[in-house]
Amino acid sequence: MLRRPDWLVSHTCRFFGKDQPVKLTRDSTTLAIERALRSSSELAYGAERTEEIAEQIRHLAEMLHELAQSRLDLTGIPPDTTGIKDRTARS
Amino acid sequence: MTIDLGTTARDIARQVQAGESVQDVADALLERIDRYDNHIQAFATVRPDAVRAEATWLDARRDQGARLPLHGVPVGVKDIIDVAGWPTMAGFEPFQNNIADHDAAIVEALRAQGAFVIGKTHTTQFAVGDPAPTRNPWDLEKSPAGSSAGSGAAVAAGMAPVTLGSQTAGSMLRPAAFNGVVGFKPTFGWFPLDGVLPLCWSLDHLGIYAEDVSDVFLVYDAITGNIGKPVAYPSATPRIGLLTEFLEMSSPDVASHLRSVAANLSSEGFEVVETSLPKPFELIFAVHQVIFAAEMSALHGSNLDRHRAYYGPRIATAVDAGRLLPAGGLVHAQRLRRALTETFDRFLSTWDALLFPTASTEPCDISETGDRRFQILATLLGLPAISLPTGLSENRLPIATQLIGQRNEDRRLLAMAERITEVISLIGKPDLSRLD
Repeated sequence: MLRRPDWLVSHTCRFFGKDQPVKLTRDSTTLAIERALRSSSELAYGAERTEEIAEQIRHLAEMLHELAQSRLDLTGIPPDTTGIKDRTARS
Repeated sequence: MTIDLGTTARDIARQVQAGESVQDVADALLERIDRYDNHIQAFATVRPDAVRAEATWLDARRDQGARLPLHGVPVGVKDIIDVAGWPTMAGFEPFQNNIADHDAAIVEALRAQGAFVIGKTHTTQFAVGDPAPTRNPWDLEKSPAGSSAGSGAAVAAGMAPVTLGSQTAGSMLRPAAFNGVVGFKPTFGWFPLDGVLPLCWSLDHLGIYAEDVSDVFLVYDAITGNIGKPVAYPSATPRIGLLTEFLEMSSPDVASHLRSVAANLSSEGFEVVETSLPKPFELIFAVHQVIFAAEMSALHGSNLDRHRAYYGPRIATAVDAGRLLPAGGLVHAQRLRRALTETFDRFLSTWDALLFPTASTEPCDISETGDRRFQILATLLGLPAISLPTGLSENRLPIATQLIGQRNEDRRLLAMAERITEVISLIGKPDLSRLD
């Protein structure tokens, strides 16, 4: 049986690019995340566009790395889509 | 009627109710726009004939006995918000002939209370990061911030007493700070978004710019149907938390100004206590940035593919990068957002308001729109926030104080801000004589 705490954020998500899939975990480095995003970008847009958006990719890698440090119990808090619901309700 | 820097919406409504012609109000303001807007470029569209026709209709209603709370008050509307018969261009060339069929719900609400539309104000493209053509009335070489650049600058230059803006990251509060006007963003969901071009569905807010807090309060009440209703004023000794993390991230003159505001409030009977965020700012920022990038990319991805040549470089780059985000990253951010919201609601229950600078610096160079970090807390968590222009830097440029209130306690926050402006003077107006 899986121990709950290890299961919680150990597979936050995976990236799929030209290289092997990369898991986003607490132990992922910013560099590894950036490399995974770049790989996806090269597949989607090619090498030239990847260079053009390199700064944004680096920024998102830093942000994802920050998020991955925070554990959340998977049995607890659901995603916050309150905003979307409110927008519809008030339209 | 003369409309000058500092003419408030209350002044105009009072004079119109006393018999002043709305037509004269419209003419005076159109003349002022004609005089200054070729320098400042706050307005994307002004339709004098449509403005005068609406003014004539409002005069007729007044002559028939109508006395509305905003009777004859001209309002500038950010160019992502629909106004029937006017184009909604959002700074995007292919939208030049995108004429709205209906008023956005917020415009409809303002018109129902007697306001009329004086013009559509410039936005950065799709309310993201490529600067608008607008210039800062305090210094034409400085940024009016973004994305609600035109709405902030129009109020600063006295070309509209009230304007509407929007905020998905820092687009209401930072233009308020850079242009030296009062800017207010309500609790998420309080202003209707129907008829507004979205950017990020779960982060978009509308807001109000005005000359002073009382005007913001009046317009807020008009939109939300609260005119004449009693206000739950804060306690005799409001408890305010000064968030020290933001002082450490501010330029020296901004940090020093905020400490002086805090000291003044303490001497005037407010209980101001230094405190810290209950969760690291880096986490709050990261959650916002991931949700922002994912929603913006979902919204703009296909349009960018069709019209890439018309997109600004910053938004195009951000959308392309955002499309690379893994779904699991977004879901994790959304869950963290809920956890942060619950933590902050508990934290805020012990304070009447949180105090910190609206922006980390004075207005930056015109090629940028400024640092968005300080405005993101209120956006991500959907909390009401107000920016007060309380100081000038050594370069004689505006510096602003931000207050965040408890969720759904917008009127209480506005009441406290009114009380604060009784003891702390707001800055004056920019010198526009150099533009004559």
